[in-house]
Amino acid sequence: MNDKIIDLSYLEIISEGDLEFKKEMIDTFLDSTSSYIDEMKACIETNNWKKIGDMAHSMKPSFTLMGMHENKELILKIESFGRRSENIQKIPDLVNQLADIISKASNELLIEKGKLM
Amino acid sequence: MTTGELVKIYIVEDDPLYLKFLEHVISLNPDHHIKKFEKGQELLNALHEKPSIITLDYTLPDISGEEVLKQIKDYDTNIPVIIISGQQEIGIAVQLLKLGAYDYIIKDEETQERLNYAITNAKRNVQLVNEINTLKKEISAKYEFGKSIKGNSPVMRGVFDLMKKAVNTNITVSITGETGTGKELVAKAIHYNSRRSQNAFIPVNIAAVPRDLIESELFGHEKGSFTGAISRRIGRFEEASGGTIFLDEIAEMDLNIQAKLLRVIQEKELTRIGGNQIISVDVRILVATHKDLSEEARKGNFREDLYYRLLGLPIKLPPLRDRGDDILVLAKYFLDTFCIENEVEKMTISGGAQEKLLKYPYPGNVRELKSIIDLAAVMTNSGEIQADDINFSSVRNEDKFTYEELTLKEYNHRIIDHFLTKYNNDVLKVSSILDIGKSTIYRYLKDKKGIDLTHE
Repeated sequence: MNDKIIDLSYLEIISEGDLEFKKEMIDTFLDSTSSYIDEMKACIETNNWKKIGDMAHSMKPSFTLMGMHENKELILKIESFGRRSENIQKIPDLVNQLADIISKASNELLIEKGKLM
Repeated sequence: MTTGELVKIYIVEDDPLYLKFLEHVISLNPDHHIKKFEKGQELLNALHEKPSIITLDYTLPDISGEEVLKQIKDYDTNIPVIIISGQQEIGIAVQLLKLGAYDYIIKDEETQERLNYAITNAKRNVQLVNEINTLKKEISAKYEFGKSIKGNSPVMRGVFDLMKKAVNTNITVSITGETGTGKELVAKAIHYNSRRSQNAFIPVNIAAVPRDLIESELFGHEKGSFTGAISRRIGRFEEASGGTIFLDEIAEMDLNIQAKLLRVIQEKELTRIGGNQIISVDVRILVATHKDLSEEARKGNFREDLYYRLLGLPIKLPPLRDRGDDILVLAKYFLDTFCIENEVEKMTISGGAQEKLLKYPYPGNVRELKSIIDLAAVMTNSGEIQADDINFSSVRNEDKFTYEELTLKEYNHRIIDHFLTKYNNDVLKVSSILDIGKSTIYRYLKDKKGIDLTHE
């Protein structure tokens, strides 16, 4: 069973062999997603559920670009719960799950980036 | 916008990863010049740079995508705005398209393909809009005062003064004048120099449309509203909405259509034949006639209430014979135009030909002068038009005797000579027809030796 989080086949297609672009995309993913996770955690402290939902919304396309299809359901839940302020008691746990996923994805991406060097 | 022409595409996207993705996808075409914005306000501040196309994220940190779209459209409705959003709700997409978004693309694995397609189409759209704007500017330039309507005579300066007043307001203008005096030209010049110049100028010659069809022509009809109405037709008033309708030969309009026209003018709305829907129209009306509309109203041929509605600012165009040296100004203009259009060397008009042109009464006015000059330019054997090249073939006999401004004695000689030729020098018969004595004719014949009567 393949338990990889990321699938870069879509990125391969759109990059059209441009390795520099692929590296930049990976770097940008690493920077932006860690910022999103930090901000989401801060928002949990202030009960700013709407902003958590908005950030999840902004992160959604990153999941498409990095082929994180298996975990789209998670990001959609956070977006929906946050924006509607529903099931807010579940949001902290979902954000923690998201942070784990992002962490694993980041590790995989660092390996992929190493292959590009 | 042809291949190789730089296209300014502005991207508004707050997510850094997606911004990079869009930048990459769009920049694959080297003709695309990209500028990136993370906030809506930053883009709005840069609209003066006239981007060709904008891609806009729906969810932005400072202003909603919807608000940014509205402000872009307020600034310049022709900039295509492609919304690229993670929102999958159809309602949002429909709302944004209604507000004028060019396309709505969901952020998914088909984004690149759809975006390329949308940009290609938008570029074509921009190209068409640019072409239309260029043509509009060319038309406006063509109808600038002094360019389309020539003349320095005091009577024409008076006309120009009235036209300038007409362009600065929305007032209805009624243009009168003999046939060929340029009524439609004046109407076009008023429209293309007015605030409505970017919208349509729709001319309708009331006399040229069959009576049975005029209502449909002006106000449109719904499918099946009468035999032959196989589809819906938008009327001329609707076509002219935002612009100007020019109703030429208005005096020829049937009384029942006059009633409907009056309602449209008063209510600023119409109903197509066979339809129930009330359609608002914002149309400026210019009318023209060669008849005396007040006289037509007095006779009962034209509704008095409509007459007063349409009278507005009256502009009376003088006949060409009353415009003095304008005849030569126009003749030279028509000759220059002929030479350019026919790619022949520039020609001039001799003094004798000018004198001949100035004496003629021009029953067909400017239109006739143009035909005379065109024919003269064809007939001349040199680069200078001579008097003999000027041919007044349309002149009526009664005009023939007046346009050369001869003395009464000379006119008498002409008349006697005409009838003597006609009746084979039968003095008795001619004296009887003209009711003059034979001795008078003999005296004239004696005088004739000293007067040239051959140039009839």
